[in-house]
Amino acid sequence: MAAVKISPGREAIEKIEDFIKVNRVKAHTRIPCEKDLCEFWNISRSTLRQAVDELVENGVLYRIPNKGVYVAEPHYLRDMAGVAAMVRDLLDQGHTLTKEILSMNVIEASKQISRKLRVRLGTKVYEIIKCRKVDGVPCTIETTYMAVERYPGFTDYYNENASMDPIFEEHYDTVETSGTEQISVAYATEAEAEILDIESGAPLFFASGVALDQNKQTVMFYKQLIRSDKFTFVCTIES
Amino acid sequence: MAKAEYKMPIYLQLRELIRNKIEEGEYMPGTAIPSENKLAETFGLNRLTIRNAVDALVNEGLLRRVQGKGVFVVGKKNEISIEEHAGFVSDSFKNDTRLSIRELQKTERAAGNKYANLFGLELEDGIYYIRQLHTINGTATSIEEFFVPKEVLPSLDSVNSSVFTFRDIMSFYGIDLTKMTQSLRIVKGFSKIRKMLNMPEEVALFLLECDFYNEKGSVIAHSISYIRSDMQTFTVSLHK
Repeated sequence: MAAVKISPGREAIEKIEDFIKVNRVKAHTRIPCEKDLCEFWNISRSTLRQAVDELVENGVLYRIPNKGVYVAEPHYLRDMAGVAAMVRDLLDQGHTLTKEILSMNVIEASKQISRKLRVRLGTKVYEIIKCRKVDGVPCTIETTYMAVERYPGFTDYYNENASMDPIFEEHYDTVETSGTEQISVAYATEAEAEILDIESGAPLFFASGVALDQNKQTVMFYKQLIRSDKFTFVCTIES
Repeated sequence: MAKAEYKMPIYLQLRELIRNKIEEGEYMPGTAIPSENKLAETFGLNRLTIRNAVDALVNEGLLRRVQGKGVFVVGKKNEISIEEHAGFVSDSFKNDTRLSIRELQKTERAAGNKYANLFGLELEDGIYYIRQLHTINGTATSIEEFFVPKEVLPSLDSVNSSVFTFRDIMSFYGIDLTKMTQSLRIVKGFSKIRKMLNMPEEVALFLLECDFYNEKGSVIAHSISYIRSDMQTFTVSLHK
């Protein structure tokens, strides 16, 4: 296999990515001007501009016309341990988290909900829909379903200042220990776009799954819409 | 076994011969064994005999026959590999018989700033770069890029990456992965990639990046997958 030279465009992109990483350039910091970078790396103006364009498109950099090119805000991370861990991490990083309950109802289980919760069709279930905000910016719409007979009175305990996990633990002796989740893409409807303050049709992460308790009983079925311009899903696997 | 081995049926003898060559490393995991014609000529046997011997090893899972490409050695998978806790598992891997892989590019290149820092190499050290097109049921679903230092996988040169995935190749060569980190984003842009995947304008693209770590905590490989979001979903097992 013959060694191949990296194309100038590819090389420029990798150099910029590396520059940001190695120098730990903070979000909203302006990167050096085109002229300086070209001289520093000995590359042509057009090559550099194309590289910057691609990184702007990919959300690594952003441009303010007549001012310059800046490093984009890093994404919030949502890991395999689910929302509770995400909330903990964001709080640890000094972010403010709030939520707004959009609706809280008792409905009859549809076919999908009854299958996911393993209850009979038409069984009474809670449907709780909330919007979560990070530093005041709406980021997720989360819908949760759980059987009323398993968690009677849940909505009496739950409100905008409460979290679900402690309620399960305190009142129902239930700890969520495992689950599976499917991740795909959904496109914001007009109503969702308005809640999330984004353009209608913007792509969102669509994560849906079930959480099981210590006895492998299904606790809840959930669907989450998560802004893809703010979040990256991550996971670490160790053997 | 010592008892009159030459009296064994000839196809069984050939089967054992191929098995030995695999075990001794003459036929390396991920590479093709010689063609049926070539084997027939070498050993002075007819092709039906060759076919019988090869079929037996295919059935055992030691070899894999790929239409139009040849017969390939399947390596032993690393038993304690991280596969079991696979992280974001693309649904194409749940049934990989539908998956076909085409190697678009395999080159050696200089590490350059980004990969020198990632892998702890010098700027001029060699890394292998592979780009594959993954097709499921005849539809192009993802472009996969793989970066690995030459010193980590020197034999990659001869491995056929049109047949195996990167994770397969790494586990064949006993590369001890102790940790993998993955990140999954939804991205705009990448117009060239979108064109290669024949994607409608309005469909979003998943970008899945993985870093693979060895027992010393160093990154030994990096992969980037560009995946059509309308063709794939991911499943994750959650443990708290």
